[in-house]
Amino acid sequence: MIAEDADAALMVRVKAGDQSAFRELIERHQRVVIATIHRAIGDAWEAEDLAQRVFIQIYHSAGRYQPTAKFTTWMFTIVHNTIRNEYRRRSRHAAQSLESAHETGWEPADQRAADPGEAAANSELQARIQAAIGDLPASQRTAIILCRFEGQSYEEIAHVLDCSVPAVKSLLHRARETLKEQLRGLY
Amino acid sequence: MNQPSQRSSDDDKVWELLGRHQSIEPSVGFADRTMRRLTAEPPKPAWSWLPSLRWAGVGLAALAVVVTLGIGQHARDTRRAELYVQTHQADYLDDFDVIAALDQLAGENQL
Repeated sequence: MIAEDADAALMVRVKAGDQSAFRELIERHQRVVIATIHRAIGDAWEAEDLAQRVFIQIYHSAGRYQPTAKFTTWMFTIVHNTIRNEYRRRSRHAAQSLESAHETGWEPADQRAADPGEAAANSELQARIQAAIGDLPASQRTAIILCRFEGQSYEEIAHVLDCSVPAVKSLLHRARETLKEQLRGLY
Repeated sequence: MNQPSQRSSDDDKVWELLGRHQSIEPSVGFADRTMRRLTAEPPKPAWSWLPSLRWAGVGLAALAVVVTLGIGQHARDTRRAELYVQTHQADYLDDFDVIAALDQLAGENQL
């Protein structure tokens, strides 16, 4: 059974109220959901909190899921909306800042640098990239994350953002141009 | 100005640079905590849909206020117009009285 069929089968069971199926769905997709949210907002603790909200939303919205649709597309739509709502909430409470994972002490998955100097340089690199991604408009941010990091196709991104494929290409082009300017000096 | 080849090279470099961005792995027990959070949610009561009517009620109340104010304003404008007509009509009738008197005078002066 290919992954898409497995997700659809699990969602059918979730619709029927099967919580073990829901747990399996979480375990299958927790990494990509948390990673996507973390890349967008930079705060590791908040990323897990928001990821939980995403999965709970998936559970409560299971009745609206149609098996003909790709589950990950539907899931990423909820992720995109959750991130966008979080940015809106933070803009209303401007005192809260978007802290990077390194500031909160959360260690990244791949901490290869043993040298303190190299670790500091890497830390700054991570912070610069995170800030540049975080400063992108919502749709550009989601498009670049799904394309660059999650390997989603233009068609899948178009479904998530409810726009056309040419619009996705335009979003990605503008995002790249902005990131080139923001990250000049690092490449 | 950057040549196309330079721009393409910069695009590739930025794309490669993004690939160096590190994300995080789920913490241990994430699925367990999510399930606990789900089961800890209080069940939604049968009337849980009522709060969604709250803003509908607010909107209706605002509409009622606007309509009431609009009706009141219209009534005031109508009354003001009526008074204006009455006032100017009185002047108009006064003019007719003067003209009628002048006609009488004119008639009396006729030989």
